[in-house]
Amino acid sequence: MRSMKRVANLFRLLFLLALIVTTGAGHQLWAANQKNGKLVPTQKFLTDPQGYSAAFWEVSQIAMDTWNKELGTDFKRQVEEHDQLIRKMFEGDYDLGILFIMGSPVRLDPGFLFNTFFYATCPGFYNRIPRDRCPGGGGALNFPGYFSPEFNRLLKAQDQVFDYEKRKKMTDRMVEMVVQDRPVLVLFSPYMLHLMNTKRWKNELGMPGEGLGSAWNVMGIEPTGEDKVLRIGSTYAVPSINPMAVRRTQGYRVMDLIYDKLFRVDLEGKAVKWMAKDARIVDGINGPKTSVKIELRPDLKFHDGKPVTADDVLFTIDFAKKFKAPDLYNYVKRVVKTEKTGKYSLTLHLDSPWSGVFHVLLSKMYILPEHIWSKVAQKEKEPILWSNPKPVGSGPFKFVSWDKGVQLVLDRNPNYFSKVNPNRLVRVKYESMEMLAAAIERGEIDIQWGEPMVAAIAERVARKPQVKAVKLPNHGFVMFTFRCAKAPYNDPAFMEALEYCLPRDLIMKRVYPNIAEKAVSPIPPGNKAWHNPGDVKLARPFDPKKAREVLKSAGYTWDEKGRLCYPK
Amino acid sequence: MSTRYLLARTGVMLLTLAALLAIQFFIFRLMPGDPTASILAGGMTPEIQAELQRLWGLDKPLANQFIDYALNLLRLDFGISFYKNVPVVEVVLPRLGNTLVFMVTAMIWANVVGAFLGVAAVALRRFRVLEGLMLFVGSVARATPLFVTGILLILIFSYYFEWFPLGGMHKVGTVHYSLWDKYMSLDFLHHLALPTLVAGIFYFTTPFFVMRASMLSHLKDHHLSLARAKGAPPTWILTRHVARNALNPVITTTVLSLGFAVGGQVVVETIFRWPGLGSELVFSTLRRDYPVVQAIFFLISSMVILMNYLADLIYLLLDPRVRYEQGR
Repeated sequence: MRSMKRVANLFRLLFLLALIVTTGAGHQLWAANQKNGKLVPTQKFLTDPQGYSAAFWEVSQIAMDTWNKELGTDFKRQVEEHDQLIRKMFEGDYDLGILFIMGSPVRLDPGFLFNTFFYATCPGFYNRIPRDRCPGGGGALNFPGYFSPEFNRLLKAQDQVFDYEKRKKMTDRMVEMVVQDRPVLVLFSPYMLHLMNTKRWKNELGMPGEGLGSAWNVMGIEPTGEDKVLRIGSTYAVPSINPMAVRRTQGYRVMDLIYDKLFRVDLEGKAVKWMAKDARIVDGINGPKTSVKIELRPDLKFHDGKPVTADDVLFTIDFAKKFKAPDLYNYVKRVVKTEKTGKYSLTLHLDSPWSGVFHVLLSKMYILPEHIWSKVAQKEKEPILWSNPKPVGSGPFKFVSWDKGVQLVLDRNPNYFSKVNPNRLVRVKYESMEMLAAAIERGEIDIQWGEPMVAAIAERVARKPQVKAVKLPNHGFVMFTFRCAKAPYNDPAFMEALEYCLPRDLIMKRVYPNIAEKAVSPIPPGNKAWHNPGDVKLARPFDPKKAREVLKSAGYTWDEKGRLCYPK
Repeated sequence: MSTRYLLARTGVMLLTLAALLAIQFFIFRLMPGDPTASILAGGMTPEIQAELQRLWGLDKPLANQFIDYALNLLRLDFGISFYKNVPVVEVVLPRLGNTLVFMVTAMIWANVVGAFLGVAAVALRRFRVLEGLMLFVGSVARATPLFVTGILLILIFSYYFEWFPLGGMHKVGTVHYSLWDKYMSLDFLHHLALPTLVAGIFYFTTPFFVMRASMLSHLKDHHLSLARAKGAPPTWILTRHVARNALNPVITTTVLSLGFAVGGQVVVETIFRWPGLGSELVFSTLRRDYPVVQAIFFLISSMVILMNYLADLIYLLLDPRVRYEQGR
């Protein structure tokens, strides 16, 4: 009986203590809330796994640590395998993330770049937004969901301006808008660092954004001796050899060799006539400068010996439109009508004037042999998914064999109209950068394709005889992307403070020493023709004190633990 | 051998396969992550994305997808690879061949050498130091992860000494026009040597320890007394009487390990860039290429089940006592 009484008293005491503590804590919380607004919650920073890119891991870690320390934020890493990371961004299901935007030739055109990355017809846009919520849609890679009517107006206007100076003024203004609105924070532009073994090949031709991976280099590189087999190594597998279903940069690089295009982007980044002997923008059925008159070279042949004619070009356009070729449809649908004017001549009628038509459409579209693909269109249930087991194109190389995921072999097209130095091309997949570097060192491989080599590996391997590290400018860039429609990224003051607290120079020094160029906008210095040198003045220097002042002026506060709170 | 037992055993095997088919189909579909992430590129509008999902049957309810899959499987149609856009059979079959050639070679030498060393360990048990050393080496070989052995041997023999290639199945640029070209050239054998050595180092330990333990348990068999009384030399007794009887469990484990080995070579294949089922499995899993992953899992699991079945049958054939028990 006595012991039961003691136990009951003990419980009463414990209850009383608990009451005091929670009331006290509650009071403190209440008192804190009177002073501060809601706590800025934990923000998930979306990144690839460390094994995928150790460099990006470091870059994001430095940024998160600096922000958390200086601003009292709580950024935490959320790791996703790359394809799933992209999916989350397509669905707008993220807070912020880090991405490397590769410098492909088509992205040299500012209209294409801005249209892809920053165009939207409604706030809160994302790639997979239901059509009824955003009927006008937006850019396929507008990950932040950036929406600005003024930006859209300029984008449409510059599309129809053919004078370079006038167009440059407009794109400069658009760059300023992106830098000031901060849907993304561009950090730097990494050089394309590719390794090469100089035992069998010399006088390589580097291309901005492509490094040694361009068709120009493959065609124009010179042999040092009798061996004319060019061996290429990459850590990416060739995804597909169907030119209508090609989706990734590695796929395009291979298609560029087997198939050919009316225009090609040259080493300076300009769209130059290629299969087209002549091409002119003329007035058309939809108004001034809305048609393109094209004259083909008469000496073009497919790999099976059949000639390339206007019928093949017209067929390709119809096929891409009819079957909605995934990466081409958005551009080819602007061709509202086609007209054959001769065996080798045709006219394309566009929906409106398009200053980027040569660069964006005609440099992207591979010409199909009608005599083969017309049968595919009739027989295959899903022509776009046709495996194309023995590709026949009109490009500088003919298909020989494809051991999927292992090796692709191509032979020189003896009937090609331009000079091609290698007799055979072998493209091999490697599992890692280390193995690829070892293969180059051993002379198993001549040149590297794909993502830039890891700097530390390149530095070590380049000391070996006959190994060369080729460093080339790049118009690709590394950026942080933020979901503009979500708090706190929809607050200009918060974004300004983040930029003030972003140690760009430190990141470059630590992670990309001597192999990156500073960049603050999506048109970095590597894109000489369209870069706006004034963009640097608009970017904020690293100044954590200023960052806190900006937040304070905007009404942000910090609680007693130093955690950032929203304005009340 | 009892027909009834055989039929029952075959029925169990087929039921297991069917259950496996269902489980692995739903497991992949229920995995987090979107398979269309790897096939949908940035340039695609929602209409095209929807169209591609329809083409691959991903817009149908899960149950319908399973029925389609099961029916196609009866026609040996594993579908189209999401990522490579070619029939799955074209992706998987060559890889299966590559893995089988590699693993069968590795398992043969591992089991022959392992069994032989097991006998040797018993024969040399008088020399305790030697026996101890053999056991130590066997334990270390078993305990060391495959990737450690693999990377070490590549570093020493491929990178520093350049005695072997860095990886792959053939010299860069080799084009083969027949299976004979592919699997019977000197170049191929040169590339095969190091990966099979690495796999063999790991796999020889099982038959080694099993053989040794089995022989030790048979050393006191009564029939050996007669052999000794007849004056048979000790080596003769060990090899002709003891080893023969001790071989049964080794054969069973060999057959079983073959089933697992076909699917378990992810590490060796990745390190040596060997284009087999294991490396393809990793690649396709990361890209959520369901059709390929399902086909590989199905193949690997079927091999394991089949090998278990074969092991049972072999045991029945080899051991009359088991036959008698099953027949009753």
